[in-house]
Formats: sequence, structure tokens, C-alpha cells
Amino acid sequence: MDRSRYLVLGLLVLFIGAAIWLGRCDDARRRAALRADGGPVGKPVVYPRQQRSHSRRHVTRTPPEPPAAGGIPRRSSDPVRALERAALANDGGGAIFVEVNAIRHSPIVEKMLRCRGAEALEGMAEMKQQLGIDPLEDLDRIAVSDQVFAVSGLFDELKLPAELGVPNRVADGADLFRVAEPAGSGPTAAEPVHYLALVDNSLLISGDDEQQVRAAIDRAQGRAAAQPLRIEGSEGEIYGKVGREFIGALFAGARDPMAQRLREVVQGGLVRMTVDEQVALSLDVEAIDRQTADDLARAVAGAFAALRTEAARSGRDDVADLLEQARVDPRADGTFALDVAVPGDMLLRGMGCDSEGRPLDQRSGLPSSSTASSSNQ
Amino acid sequence: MTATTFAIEVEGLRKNYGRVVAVDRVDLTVPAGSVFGLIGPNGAGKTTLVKILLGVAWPTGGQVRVLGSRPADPVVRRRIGYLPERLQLPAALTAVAFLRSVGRLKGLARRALDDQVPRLLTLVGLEERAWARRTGTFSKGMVQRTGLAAALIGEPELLVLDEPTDGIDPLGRAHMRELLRAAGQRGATIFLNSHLLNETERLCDHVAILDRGRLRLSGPLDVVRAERAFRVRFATASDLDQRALDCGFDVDEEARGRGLSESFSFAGSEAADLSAALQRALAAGLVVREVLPKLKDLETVLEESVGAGDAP
Amino acid sequence: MTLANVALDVMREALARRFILAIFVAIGLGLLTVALALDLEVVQGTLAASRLFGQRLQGTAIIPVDVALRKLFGILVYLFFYNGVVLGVVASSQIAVSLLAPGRVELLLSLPVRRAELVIGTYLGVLLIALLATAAGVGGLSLVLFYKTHVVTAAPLAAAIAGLIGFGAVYSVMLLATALVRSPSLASATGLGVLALGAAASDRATFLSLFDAGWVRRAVEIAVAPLPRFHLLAEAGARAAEAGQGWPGDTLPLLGSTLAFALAGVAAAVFVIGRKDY
Repeated sequence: MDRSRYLVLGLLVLFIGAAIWLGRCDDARRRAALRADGGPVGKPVVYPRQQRSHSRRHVTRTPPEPPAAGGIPRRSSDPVRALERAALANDGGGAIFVEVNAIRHSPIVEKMLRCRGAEALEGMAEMKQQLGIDPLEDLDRIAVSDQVFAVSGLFDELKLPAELGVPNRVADGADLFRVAEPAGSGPTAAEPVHYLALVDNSLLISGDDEQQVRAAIDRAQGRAAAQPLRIEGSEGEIYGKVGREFIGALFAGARDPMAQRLREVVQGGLVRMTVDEQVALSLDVEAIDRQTADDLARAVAGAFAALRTEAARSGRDDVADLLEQARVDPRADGTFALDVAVPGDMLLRGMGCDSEGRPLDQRSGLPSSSTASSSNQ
Repeated sequence: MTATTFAIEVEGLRKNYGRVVAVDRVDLTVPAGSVFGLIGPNGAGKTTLVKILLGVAWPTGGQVRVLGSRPADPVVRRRIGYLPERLQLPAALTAVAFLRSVGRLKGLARRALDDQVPRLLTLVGLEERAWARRTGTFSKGMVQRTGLAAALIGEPELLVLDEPTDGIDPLGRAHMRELLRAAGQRGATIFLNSHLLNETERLCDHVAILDRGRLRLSGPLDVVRAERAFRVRFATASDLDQRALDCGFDVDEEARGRGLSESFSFAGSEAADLSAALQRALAAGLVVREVLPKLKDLETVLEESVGAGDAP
Repeated sequence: MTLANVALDVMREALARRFILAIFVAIGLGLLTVALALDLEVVQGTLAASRLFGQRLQGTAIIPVDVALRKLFGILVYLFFYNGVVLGVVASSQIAVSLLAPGRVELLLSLPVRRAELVIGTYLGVLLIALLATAAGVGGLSLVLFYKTHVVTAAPLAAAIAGLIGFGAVYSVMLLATALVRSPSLASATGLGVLALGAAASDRATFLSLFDAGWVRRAVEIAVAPLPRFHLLAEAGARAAEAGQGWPGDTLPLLGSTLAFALAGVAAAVFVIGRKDY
């Protein structure tokens, strides 16, 4: 072999060696990136509507039913269903449910509590002393409808304020309180404006209308029919169906033209929100007709686009990234879908915490600004 | 070995393909400016020898110098034109595009290409309307003409042609002979590998015979063809045959068969013997009209050489 | 200079081939169809509606138009990468084979061209054609979309580079196969085989787990060690096109590894052709 052949052979060996070495370098880089991020680089947002096989994570604090005393059960047979039934009147108004305990035990909130728990726990301890329950542990779920606001949980130790007065026992295990406005704040000082009911020591129901609260108690205890709640696919930690009445009630006092327009054109919708490593919201909005849905979708998407441009222009890259992932999807049936998510890292940074839930200001040399570094979402 | 006298110098050249010996200890020189013909039977190793001369195949042993350099030297290859056996043109290109491509690779400038490409295509007799046609549509003759034009591009000092007239009609062959003669007159050395002995005989001034990888014969054509005999023609005389036979001549039946009456042959290569025989003829009253050395045709030379190669 | 001449000649000859010409015509017609049939409605910086042949495309979300384009390019990267490489393999399998054809290679080798220059020039010529086709496809599509949306994005550039380097690696092996055995079918099969194996073995750990632990796995590990991670390359291109992330910084080892493999293939082809008799 002449010299040039040796040279070519040497280059061949060198290139093969380089290919192997660089390939292994890339493998190592990817492994390191996976370890650092806990997932593939550039993991996309998964919206609730895409989580077909994911069911909501109930971490219910409601204890099992205690033995019956004198044949009368102290709790309704199924506290979860009781809350649903209480909130869902048979008028099609719908309700929104919040899995408080599931959210409390979600990875993102765990990190938040690890990071800023001391401040939060201080307030909670005070509340527990006053009310007898720990909001972080004893609250289970919340439901909001156009008629009532309901909370389920473990209320055996609940200390109701003396100002509520003597309750009216409206049914077995169900006490109804009249709550008066503070003097001078209402049209007439003594006029009752709110009703609060404690049902089976596991359910609190509040509302402005006594009849509606009483009806909710009846539905919760199974004496009246309730609207069934059916949501296809994943429900998430916050979910629910709302009707026109709910929308109307939601925007009842609003004077903003956009809110008034929404009240006019939105028929109802489906809400699903997951709280996991990230917070993601999927909305299905039903408008009065297809054209309106289309226009509304364009308006919302345009607003997102404008906000994103503004965020990018002002250097708020994380907000721009967040809005970039938002989706507005008009459909042929007069509805449109809206998906938006907030990466957990962004929320944590907003609270001055790093992605592992450590306070940023305790880490030497690292800024505690909410825009200190961008996530790789 | 010198670079000035010989265009090609080969010394002890060997080429083996595994156990098969294609070229076996060949020593060969091709004088600069000559038209050199390499002949031999099929499988003699002629094409292998040509490929080694051009650096297309690598020798197993021995030395090869072409125009004073190694065949692998790109500088020397700039001065060589080559027409391979069974040339395959790039089917998608036109003749003009192909020639320009060859010219560019030979280092010719655009202006030189603009000048040479149409001139050479005209010279080799390719009709102008075919110039812009894809070569994939060419006949064998057109391919050979285009290949010859490619070999001639850049006015090479050494032209190596492997079966150049293959597939060309008789008129075309005559035209090609003229072209090669013109190139020879320009001073180029032409190395011709052809199985057409007639063509070689008509064109070459030097030949070499290769058989089973070995060089059997090499030298100027006249020397190679020369027989150990002379042809003598006498003027018509009475009882000519008997008188000539008495002086030591033989009747040349082969010449008479071609209409050359009064032709006789004299066997022997020594001038003194011939002179003595002619003196006897003159003394016998015969008039000598012509004395020529007797030449064999190449076929005979080839047959004899190959036959000799068979001898132990 | 000689190298450039060889590369340009290879490119000129390839472009004169009907099949390759047909690919360029197909790219042009495809772009023309997209230009004429695709209607993108841009409202307030968002892609409000997309229509193809007058029919509204359902299931398309209203998102910022630049995001929509980057998402589109992110998807197209895979399409361009795999289809482009496969098309490139098929289209280029004849080129080196034709150069090394008996009656052709002798003439080429008798010219003042070194064998290494012939191999490298052929390789570069084929890459030039690939570059032209990529530029025509990706550049043309970018232009059409710019005309329709007035959004300029450099996103496809990274994808195009990833695709070209990927094809370069595949073609180097095809060149080596052709140097060993002059067969277009074998060259294509080798190219596709390396592409498939490289893509499958992109995640080495997962790929190797398919084999029995022991000497079989070790042998496979050694065999695939230098192979380019084609799927990761496509993924990197897509990510760069979609979000402009990790390019070129994070992808440098990956690109370098693929490039080194390509150079090794070319060096091997030079080594084989260097002493071969024609």
C-alpha cells in the first residue's frame, strides 16, 4: 500500500471513531436532559381533552359512614354523589366541581407548599383554630352552580360562628341557618340574604334563596331528583357543565362590554382543568349559532395572539410561550374549543420557587425573579 | 529509460488477476510520434495492457512510464486522449455536453471548449443535428465518433484507441484513418489496439504482438513483416521460367495469382546470395525489372508468432 | 477545481436524467397546487381558517399564524426527512453506478482526475442535487406560505440541514456499496437498510434491549455503534422547526456523529475504489 492509502485508511478509522464517540456524547446529553427534566426534552402540554385514559385523582378526606345511631345515618350514603346531587338542579343550569383535596395533593401544589408552606400554614392554623377544620386537609370538594355553593369534607369538628344563631332542622341531619348581612350593608339591616346548611356533618350548602337551598338538601339526601353529570373522557381536578343560567349568573353584575357580549351569545359549556405538573384548562364553549361561535373563537384567538405579541415584545418569554400553546378550535356544530395551560415551572417561578419546590431566594447566586429562566416547555 | 524518445516505456510488466496471468513480463517501447498497433488473439491481455498504461488498472509488477511519468499522475493524463473499447456515453447528456464535460476535466478553459467542441464534432463527422441529441439515442457508429472527438479534445500528445473502428461502416473507417493520420502528422503518438489486422497494417508504422500475456514481437511494421525472401521480376523473354530456375529463382505463384506475371522469388536474406543470383541471371541474358524484399501480411505474422509461442 | 468540476458534472448529468427532472417537476407542481388551492385566512395575526380546494379544513385550531407555520414545518420535517431520504436513495442509486459502468469508468479514470476526486466529487454532486431539491421544496413552500401569510420563518432551514446531513450519511454508504458491487438495486437496498436500522437504533438502549443479553447483544451493539441516529436527527430538525430549540448547540454531537459517519463512508469508498482495477 502506498502512503495515500494509509492516509485514507487512517481517516476511515478516525471518522468511525468520531461517529461512535459523538453518538455516545449525544446519548449522554439526552440521558442528562431526561434526568434534569424528568421527561423528554420539549415535552408538550397535554390538555384535559387529550387525556382520554386519565381519570381525576380523588383524594377524598370524607371518612367512611359511621355506625347508625337509632337507625338514622349521620351521613348521606355517598358523600361524593351527595355534593353532585346538591349542586346539580334539574333545570339544566349545570355546575362546576373543584377537587380541592386532589389539587392539594397534586405535585405542583405539593411543591408550592414545600416552598411557601410556612406562610400558608400560618393562616391555615388560625383558620383551624376559629373554624375547627383544617382547610388543607378537611376540605374535599367544592361545587358551584347558579343556585348554590356547596363544599364537602370532614366537618365533625366544625365550629360555626355564634352569629349564625339557632339552626332550623329541615331534615334528618340537615340544619339550615339564616345569615344576615352586617348592619348597614344591605337594603335593610335585619333582612336575611343568605342561607347556609350543614348536611350530615359532611356537606355545607349555601345560597341566596331558601327554597333553592332546601331543594339542594333534598337532592343531597336523595329525596329529590338531580340532573346527572356526564363528561366524556378525562374530567380533571376542576370540571363541570354550565348552562345559560350559570353564564348569566356569572356575568350578572358585569359592566364590561366583552362580558355582556359573552352573556348574550354563550349558551353553555364544558370545563375541564387538570392540576398536575402543570395546570391545563380545556373549555368547550357553545354559542347561539355557528357564525357566533366562529366570531367568538376568532376574537379570543386574536386576543391571545395580541397578548402573546405584547409579552414577547416586553421580554416576558415565558408568558409568550404559554400563550403560544393556547389553542382555539372552532367546530362546525356551533361550539369552539379553548385549551390553555400554565407550566408548573412558571407558576413556581411566579412564587419564587425553583422547579423542585425550593425557594429561589435561598439558593445562592440565583435570582428569584419570575422570569429568571425559561422552561423548556 | 528516457522520456524524450519514447512515448511509452514498459519494463517487466506483470498483471495477475488471482491465479490468472493477464500480462507476463512485458518489455515494450513505443517511439514518440509513431502510430503503434498492438495486436494479438482474443484474451491475449491487450486491453489489460492498455488499461495499465492509462492507470485504469494497476500492475502487479514492473515499471510503466507514459510520456515520461507514472500513469497515475494527473498532469500526464492531461496530455493523453483515450477511446475505450465499448465506450458507454452518459445517456442523458448530449454530445456537446459530454465533450464539454471531458474538456473541463482535462482543464480546458471555456473559450477553448467553445472552439474545440464544434470543430471536433465536425471533424469526426457527427452530423450537426445530432449534436444536441441525448447520446442514449446514438447508433454505435455515432458513439464511436463522439468518443473519438472526446479523445482528441485538448490536442493530446498520446492518443490511445481501443478498437476505434468497431461498429463504424467502411466509409467511416476510411474517414477515421484520415483523422488519425492527421493527428500523427501533427506529431501525436497513436497507440492503436485493434483486432482488425487490415486496419493496423494500413495505419501503423510500428506493431507489437501480444499472446497469452507475453510480448511475442515488436518493432517497425516493415521489419516485422519482412520475410527471408525477395521478389524479382524479369522482362519477358523466351523460356523465361526455365532460365530463371536455372539461375536459382523460384516461380512466385502467389504473385502470379494476383496477375503479376514474370514474378519469381528468391529465398534467403543475405544480399550477397541475391547479388550472385542476379549476376547469373544477367549473364543468362535476362533483364531485371524489379527487386523487392518479400513482405508477409500481418495475419501471417500473427499466426507465425502465436504458433511460435506454442513451441516448447 | 477538479473536485468542483466533477461535482458539477455529476449534478448536470443527474439533472438531465428524466427521473430526477420528474422529481423537480413534481415539486414544482406540488407547490403550484398548494399556492393555488390553499387559502389561509389570517385575522389579527392568527390563522383563522384554512381552506383546501375551497373546503374548510376542520379540526384546525385558531392559533397565531407563525406558530401554525412552525407546527406545520415541524410535521413536514418528518415527511421531508424520511420521504426525502427514501426518494433520494431511489433517485441517486443510478448515478454512481452509471459513472462506474464499463466503458465509462475507463474514460473517466484516464482523465486528469484522481480517484479520490472522482469519489468525493460524485458524492458532492449528489449532495448538490439533494440540496437543490430541498431548496426547491422547502424554500418554495416557505415562499408560498410567506405570500399567503406574510410571515417569514427560518424554521425550515434547520430541518433542511438535518435532512441533508441524514441523506449524506445514507448516500455515503450507497457509494461504498456501489464501489464494491456495481448494482443500483444493491445500492438502494443498502441505503434503505442503513436508514431503517439507523432510525430503529436511534434509542440505543431500547433497541439493544430487543436482543438477548450476552454476546448477541454485545455484537449488535458493536455493529450499530457508528450508525447515525436518524430518528433523533429528524426529531431534532422537527424540534428546531417547531420551537427553534436546541439548534444547533444541543444537536451538535448528533450532527457531528452523522457527519463523521458520512465521511467514514466516503473514506471507505475512496479506499475501495483507490486500488480497484476497471
